[in-house]
Amino acid sequence: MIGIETRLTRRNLLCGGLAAGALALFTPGVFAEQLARTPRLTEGPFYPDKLPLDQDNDLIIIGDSLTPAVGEITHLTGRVLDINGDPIKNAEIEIWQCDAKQVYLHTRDSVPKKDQQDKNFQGFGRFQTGSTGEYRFRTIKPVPYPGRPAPHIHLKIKKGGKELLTSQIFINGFPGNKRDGVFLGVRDVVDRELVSTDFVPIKESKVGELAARFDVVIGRTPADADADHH
Amino acid sequence: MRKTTILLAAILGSTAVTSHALAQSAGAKPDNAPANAQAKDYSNSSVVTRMMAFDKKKDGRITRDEVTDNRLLRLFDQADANKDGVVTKEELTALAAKLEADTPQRDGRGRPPAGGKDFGPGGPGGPPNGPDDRGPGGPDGAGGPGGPPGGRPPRGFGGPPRPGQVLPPFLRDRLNLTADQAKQVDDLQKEVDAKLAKILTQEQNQQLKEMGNRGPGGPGGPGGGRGGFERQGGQGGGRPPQPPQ
Repeated sequence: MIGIETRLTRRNLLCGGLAAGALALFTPGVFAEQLARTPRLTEGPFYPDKLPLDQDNDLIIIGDSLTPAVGEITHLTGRVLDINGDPIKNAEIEIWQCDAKQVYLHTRDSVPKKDQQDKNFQGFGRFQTGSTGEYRFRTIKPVPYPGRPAPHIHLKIKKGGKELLTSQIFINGFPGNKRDGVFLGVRDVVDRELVSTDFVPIKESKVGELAARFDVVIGRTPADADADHH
Repeated sequence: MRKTTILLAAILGSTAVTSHALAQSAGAKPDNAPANAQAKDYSNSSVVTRMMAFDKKKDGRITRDEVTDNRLLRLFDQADANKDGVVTKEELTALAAKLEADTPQRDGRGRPPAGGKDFGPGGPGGPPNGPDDRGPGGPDGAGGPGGPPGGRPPRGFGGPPRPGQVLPPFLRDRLNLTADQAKQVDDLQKEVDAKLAKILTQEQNQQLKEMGNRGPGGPGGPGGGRGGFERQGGQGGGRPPQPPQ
């Protein structure tokens, strides 16, 4: 059962359908040359309905404020790559997540919970990759949300105005993952690895900051190919 | 009065579905479980096939350097039981079995179709998180069910509805009730509960109560209808756990 599902998934990944799938299966090592695609996951209901004025990659401080967001400061870094491991430059990576008090930057969440909200958390940020495909954010370690026992950071990659990928970043080994509908919805355990990462204490940090590394791998999409032609 | 009758009819109808569903899932388990437990062969599971794809030398084992996708080194390290820096197919098979055992198994009823990766799972018998992390509209508890992926029948909605529930939490969220409406719905709920309790025998009431406890929302009960957002059972409530710094 699992085997079949895996193969179906791969077939999807290859975009080429059956022919490419069969070719790949009979070409030794072809997968080893490639990076596995970051699985797509639901965008969820709380992509900000009103984007904040400050949309930079530091979600801990809004504008010129002196008060930082509540939460465990995390340096989230990684690269946006294609399946051959080549960096994707000029990709726009957006992240959004609820604050430490479990409130999203979305009026459907923040209005009913306005007393609960951490007004110092930016809730959303974006970053444009350069030639190395690197991105960098300063944000908080995600926390569980009612109905979502797995803490997560939402993520969207765009390029040239086209959306290439929407997914979520999970905390590797977090107990709530095993009760989380979205996480468990990723059937393939290898795919679960691809949407999880460790949040590791930074040794030099005296205030307990964390580092999380998350590489995003995007396969060729129709939109992608389209962009190449222009 | 007529309205109430219709309402009650609908509720009793859903209760019938509920007990049917419960009976079904209860019946399905003994059939599937033992077969799965014994006969499952993990040597072709995704952990094995996808990791062994790094075996360029085709010698039935992979070294750490062969794993060119860094994101999968965690799996490699987990699989490398004897810590010799080499992972064999057997070690991967053992890891696959372990990971499988580690994850709560859904029976076939909750299994989303292979193409449904963009959605939450169809979801079998309600985990305490409620239905809201399923379906394209609902992963964060507010969007509601958004329909089962791949046009599956709606029985996968995180388990049976609470018997007699006028508007389940996810619908409340979807509808974005005003405080006043929420209160009215709460009142209607009380009315329905009371009338239903009168109609049924004590034994039937007890039965319903037991089913309700298994449904989504769980023991939390109707705890103050604040816009309906945080009504999922169990979770919610105050500060999230903060790992030690």
